[in-house]
Amino acid sequence: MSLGSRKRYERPTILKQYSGYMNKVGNRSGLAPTPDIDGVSIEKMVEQFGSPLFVMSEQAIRMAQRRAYRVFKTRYPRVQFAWSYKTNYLDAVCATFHSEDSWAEVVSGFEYNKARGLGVPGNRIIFNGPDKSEEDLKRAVNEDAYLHVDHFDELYRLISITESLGKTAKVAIRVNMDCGVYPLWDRFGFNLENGEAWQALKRIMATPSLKLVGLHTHIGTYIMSPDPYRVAATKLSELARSLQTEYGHKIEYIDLGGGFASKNTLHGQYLPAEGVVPTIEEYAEAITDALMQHATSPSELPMLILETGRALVEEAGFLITSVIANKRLADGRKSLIIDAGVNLLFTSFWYRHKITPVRDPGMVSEDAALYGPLCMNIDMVRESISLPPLNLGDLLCIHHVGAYDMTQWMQFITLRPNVVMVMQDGTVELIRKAETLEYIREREQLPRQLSKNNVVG
Amino acid sequence: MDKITLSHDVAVSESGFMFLPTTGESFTVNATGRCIIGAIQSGRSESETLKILVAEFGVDERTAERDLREFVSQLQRYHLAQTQDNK
Amino acid sequence: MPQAEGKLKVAVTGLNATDNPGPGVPVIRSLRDAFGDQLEIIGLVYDTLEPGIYIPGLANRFYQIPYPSTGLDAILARLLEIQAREKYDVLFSTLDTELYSFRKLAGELHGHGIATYLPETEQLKLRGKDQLSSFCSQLQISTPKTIVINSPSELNSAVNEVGFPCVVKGIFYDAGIVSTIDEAHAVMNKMRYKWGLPLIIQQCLKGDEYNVCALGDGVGNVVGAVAMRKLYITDKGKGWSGVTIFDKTLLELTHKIIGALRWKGGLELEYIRAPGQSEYNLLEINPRFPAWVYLASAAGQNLPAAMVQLARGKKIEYFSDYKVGTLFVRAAWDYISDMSRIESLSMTGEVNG
Repeated sequence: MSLGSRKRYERPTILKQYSGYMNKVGNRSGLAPTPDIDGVSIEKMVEQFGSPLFVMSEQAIRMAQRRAYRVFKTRYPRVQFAWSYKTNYLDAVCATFHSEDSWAEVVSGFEYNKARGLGVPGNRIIFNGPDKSEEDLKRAVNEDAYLHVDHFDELYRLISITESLGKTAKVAIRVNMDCGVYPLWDRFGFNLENGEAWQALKRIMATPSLKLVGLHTHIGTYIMSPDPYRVAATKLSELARSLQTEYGHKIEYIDLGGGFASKNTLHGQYLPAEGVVPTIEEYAEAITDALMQHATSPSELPMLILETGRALVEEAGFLITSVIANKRLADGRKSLIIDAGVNLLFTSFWYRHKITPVRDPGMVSEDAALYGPLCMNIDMVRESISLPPLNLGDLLCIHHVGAYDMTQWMQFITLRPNVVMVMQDGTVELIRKAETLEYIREREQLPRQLSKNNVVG
Repeated sequence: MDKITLSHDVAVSESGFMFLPTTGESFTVNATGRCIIGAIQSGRSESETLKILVAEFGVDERTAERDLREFVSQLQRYHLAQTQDNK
Repeated sequence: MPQAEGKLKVAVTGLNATDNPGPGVPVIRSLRDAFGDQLEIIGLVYDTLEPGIYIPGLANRFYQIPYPSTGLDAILARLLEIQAREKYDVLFSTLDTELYSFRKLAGELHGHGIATYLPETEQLKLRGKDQLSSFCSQLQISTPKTIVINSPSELNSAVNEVGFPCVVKGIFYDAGIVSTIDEAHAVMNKMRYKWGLPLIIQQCLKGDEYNVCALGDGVGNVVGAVAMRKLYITDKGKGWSGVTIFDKTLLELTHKIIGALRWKGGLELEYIRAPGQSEYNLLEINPRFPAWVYLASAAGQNLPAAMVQLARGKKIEYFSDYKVGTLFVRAAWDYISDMSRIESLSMTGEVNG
C-alpha cells in the first residue's frame, strides 16, 4: 500500500451510546480547529517558542479598543478610556492600549511606576485602590496624577501630604452604591446611601489643597445586565448635581470603572456567555442615556471615563498547550494531561474556556477531564470537555485568556512560559521571556549556616 | 503477548455503529477501532494487529501499541473482550 | 425564499414529546393542518431518542443539532450546513433554552434566507422567572410571593419568608415542591448543578390551573390567544388533558402582558386561582408556545401557522374567537421502529422522515 492511499490515523475509539447524553451531531465534535492566530501558524510559533505558550494579538487589542471608542463616542461627546493595568500589565499590551489613546488606570505603586516607565505622564494616570503608600501618594501628587480616594484614612493622609508639599492634588472619590447588583461591593470607596460619600466630598471641598475633579464608581465584575450601569450613572450624575447646587462646583468627569461581562462562560452558567451577555453597545446605551438625561446642555456634560479591562483584552489572548498524556480514570472516563494548568490559567477556576484543537479534529469526540501538569489535586482545567482523540504532543488552543491570566499566574511547581505577540505586520515578537531557574534563584539567599559545605559536608 | 477474544458475536456496521443483540447496548466505533475489531475477529494476535495498524494507517509502532492497549482495555470495560495472559 | 416548486419548508425544534414534552410535535401538526402538501418539515433534534423522530410522516427529514450550551459558533455552523442542503424558509424555535442563542443568531440566519419570529433578548429577560415579581407589581397583576436567590446561603432566609410548602425553580426548567428545609436544600443542590444560579423560591398556592397560549406581534398586539383549564395533571405537574374556556379577565390579562412586553412570538401564561376566588395569580410567562398548542389550533386559532406567516412577512388577520369546550386528552401510544434509525442519526447526524 502506498503512503498516499493510507487512511488517516485517529486513535482507536469506542463510545457507548447513552440516550440523553449523546449529542455529537453524528459524532462530529462540532469544534472547528484553530490552526493560526491572525494568519500566523500556531504550530510554527510553538516550534520557535515552545509549549505552553501565551499569544497576544496586537490586532485584536486595537480592534477592541477602537470599537469601544466608536460605540461610546457615537453616543456621547467626551469619552476617555483608561487601561486597567491589573487586567494585563505586560508592557507590550499596555503600550498598545496607550497608543490607542487609552490612559493608565493603576491600583498600586508598582503599577503606577510601571505606567510611568512606559512614558505615561502623571496627568494621564488614574490611581485607584485601597493601598497607596505615603511614597506613592507623594509621587502621584508631584506628577499631577488623578487620585481616587478610597477611604477616610487615605483622605486625611492626602491632606497632610499636600499641605506639607505645598501642592494641590487632583482628587475624585470612589463611591459605592446599591445598583441592584449582587454582591454589593461596599468594601471599596464611600457609601452613597448612608451619606458617607457626601461627608467625604464636603471634607474635600473644605480643603484648599485638594481639587475635586471627578466621581468614580466600580459596581462589580462580570455584570450581566446594562441596567446597574444606568443606575450608577444616574446616581453619580445626581451627586454631581448636588455639588453644583451646594457649592457651585462643577466636576470634570464621571468614571464608571469596568465590570462588563465578557464572552467567557462561567461554570454555573448553562448557556454560552456569547448568547446571553449584553453587547458593548447595550452597556454604552444605558450609561450614556443616563448621563445625557442629567445634562442641561451638551457643554455641561462631564467627561466619561471607562476603565474597561476584561472586555477589551480577554479575546486578544490565547494559551497554546500540548498533550502530555492520555489516561483512563478508574471509572473508565477519559482524561488528558496538558502542559498548562491552573498555574497559568487562574481564570479556569470560574470560566469554562473555549478550547479547540489546533489541527483538524477528526470525526469522533469523547468527553474527557482536562488536567494540568501540576502534581496537585487542584490542577484541573475542566471537569469534562468534549474533545477529539489526541495524540501526545498534539496542540490545543485555549481562547479568551488575555485578561487576568498573565497577572494572576503563579510561579508554582514550574516556571512561567514565553509570551509572544502576533504583530499587525504578521511578525511574532517575544514580549515576555520564559522564566529560568536563574531568574527565580536570583531573588533567593541561602543563609551562610546552610551553605553547601555545611549541608552536604 | 496477550490473546484477545471478543465476548460477543459483534458486528460493526459500515458506518461504525455496533448494536449488541444480547444486551441491547449500542456503541460507535471509529475507523481505527473497526480495523482492530476486525483483526481480532479474524483471529489475529496482538502483534499481528499492530502490524496491520502500521500498514493501514502509517502510524509508528510505539503509538499503535499504546493506543491498542487502551482500546482493548475499553473493550474490556464494556465487557466486549477478554484477554488471556500468554506468557 | 420559498422553494421553486412553491413549497414552504419549516425547520422545527423540540420533538421531545416525552412526559415533559416539548412543543415541536403539536407545532408541526398545526402547520400540517394549515399548509397541507405545500409544506415540508425539517425536524431538528438534540437526542437520538426524541420521540418525534419515530412518528411516521412527522417530518420529511431529521437532523441532529448541538445543544444550546455548546456555543453559538457550533450551532450556527450546523444550522447553515443544514440550510445549504435543505434551503428551509423558517426556523421555528420551541424551547426556552434555545431562545437566547437563536435570537443572537437571527440576523445571521436572516442573511442566509432563514426567517425567524423571536422575542428580543431584553423581552426575554423581562419575563424571566427572576424578574416576574417586579414585572407583576408594575402591571398590578397578582403573583405568588417570589424570592430570587443568587447564592446557596440565601436559601434559609428565602424559604422562611415565603413559608412552606414552597416551590424551588430553576432559571429555565424544573421545579420541585418542598415542605421542609432539608428538602429545600436537596432540591436546590440538584437544580443548581444542572441549571446554575439563580434559583427562584416561590410561594406554593393551591387552586385550579389556567393557562393561556398566545401569539404577540412585537408591537404590543395579540394576534391570538386561547385559554385552557387543566383537567388532569400528572405528578410532574403537566396538563394531560384540558378544555378551552373563555373568561374575559384572562383575555384582558393577556392583552395587558403582551402589550407591556411588546412580545414577539409564541407565549404561554400560567395562572393559578383559588376555588371561589376571582383573582388569577400569574405563576410564569413561558417564552414559547406550550406543548398543548394544538388545542388552540383545533379550537380555531392556528397560532403556529400564523407565526410562520408573520415570520415570512405575510399579512394575516388577527384572531378574535375560538371554540369553547374543545377538549384535549393526551394518550400514551407506542411507535415501532428499528435500530437502523438510531444508527443513522448517531453516525451521520440525520435520518429520513
